[in-house]
Amino acid sequence: MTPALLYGLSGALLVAIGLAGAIASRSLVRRILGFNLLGSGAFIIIIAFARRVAGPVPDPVSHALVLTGIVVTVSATAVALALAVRLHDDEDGRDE
Amino acid sequence: MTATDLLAAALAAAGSLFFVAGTLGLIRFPDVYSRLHALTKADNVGLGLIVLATFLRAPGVANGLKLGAVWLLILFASAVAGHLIAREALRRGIRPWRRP
Amino acid sequence: MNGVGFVDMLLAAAVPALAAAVMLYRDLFRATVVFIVLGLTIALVWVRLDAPDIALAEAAVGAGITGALFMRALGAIPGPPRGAIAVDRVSFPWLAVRGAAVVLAAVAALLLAWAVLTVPSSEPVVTRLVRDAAPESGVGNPVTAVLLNFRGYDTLLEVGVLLLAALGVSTIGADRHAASLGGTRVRGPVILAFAHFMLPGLAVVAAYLLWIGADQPGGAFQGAAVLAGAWLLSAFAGVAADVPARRMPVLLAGGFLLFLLVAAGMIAINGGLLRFAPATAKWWLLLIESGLLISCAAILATLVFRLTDDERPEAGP
Repeated sequence: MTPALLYGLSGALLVAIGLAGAIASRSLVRRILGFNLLGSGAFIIIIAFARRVAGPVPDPVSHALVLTGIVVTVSATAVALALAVRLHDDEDGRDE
Repeated sequence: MTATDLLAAALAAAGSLFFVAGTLGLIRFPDVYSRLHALTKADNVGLGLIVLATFLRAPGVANGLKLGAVWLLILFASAVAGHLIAREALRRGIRPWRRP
Repeated sequence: MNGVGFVDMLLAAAVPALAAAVMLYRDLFRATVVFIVLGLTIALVWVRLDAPDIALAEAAVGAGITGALFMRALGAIPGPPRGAIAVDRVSFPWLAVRGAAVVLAAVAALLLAWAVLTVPSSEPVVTRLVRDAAPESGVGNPVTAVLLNFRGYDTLLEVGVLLLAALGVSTIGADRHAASLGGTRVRGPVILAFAHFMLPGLAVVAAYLLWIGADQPGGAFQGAAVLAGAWLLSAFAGVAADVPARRMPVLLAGGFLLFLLVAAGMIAINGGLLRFAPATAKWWLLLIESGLLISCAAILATLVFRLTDDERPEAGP
């Protein structure tokens, strides 16, 4: 068991938790949190792959992909949260 | 394991102990002010010890300055954050806990 | 990369545990705090996976900016009145949804775990191509080379996405009459002194990350995140660093437009979109990255500021 394999499995678990949370949560903000977790888990798996197969230097294309992914995730999260704040104007609160 | 390694390990362990103490305080103290107390004081001392341990493992002037700068910056930031939180708590009327 | 150490086992166990805490905490404020902690833990995972550029970005953007976004959103959503008993809407359709979600998530986890366990150990073709072409890219950091030179088109569109997000948030979010970079001002001498002390250092760190990103871990995005943090700090502390409303569009779109201009200019000079000559590539990339530093910082700060109006007084943890 190499570290990359261990983290890859951890990432798979993270994807599962984020996915379940994003679907099954009642509050919008928690769903957005779930999507973020889902994204982070996917990134961990990608970089675990990059670490598993490469030699001394890990695969830079995967790194660039994940860097782009992080930036796109924050963009999407910002828009989603702005929408959520607007929608919450007449909902019943932020606890689940 | 050289003497330096042992010393670094001991310092890191002591630092972790302080962190545990701070976390215990965070969980168990009765009001926000005492929790802030535990967080800022205990955690920063713990961080200082861990910084020392890290410096022993990676000696050198450049590393030492960087690690010292990290510790100082976190000291400043946690002091400012603690102040802001305490002031906001006071503004909202949370009174310090008194022994009943 | 040697074998699995205690730190690895700790981190690999902590990540799902923290994630579960994020999903299960009743109070969204606490969930967000744990989310920020999770982001920083994942940054440590990046370090262990030999991905320092991503670690920098995760700590600054993933934990920092995203955490600020969530905190600001939560401040604007009124909580339930104190003492109210949460209505427990346990209905059959909802239980079915939850059960289905858990099953789906379990299936996904198993599939991904199987993929992780059976990934082939041979090097992908593209990695070898990148390694062979790296000396011609103009920069020493292979990730920067891929981001700006080999896959520059992706990065160009990524900045476009950021810009679109800033536009979207500005339209949906804040009061349109607000100042260009408004936000809750935290009055007081302590934070003002802190801001005065930190801002020059933060600007230098941002510029340094940009410069060092050519050959070592770092880059424009990481620097932009630090600069955005400095911007937020200055606005919250009340340091007079506000940008006139007329100038903001220039800052926001400038990086993207500069990138586009250079990309198109390469058609004229070198015969292809974003095709750089090895000799001059370093300077073109530096030019693009400098524009990105300022613009992306402005965009990230705008995302946080324009997310909502100033917080309502009755909201809070």
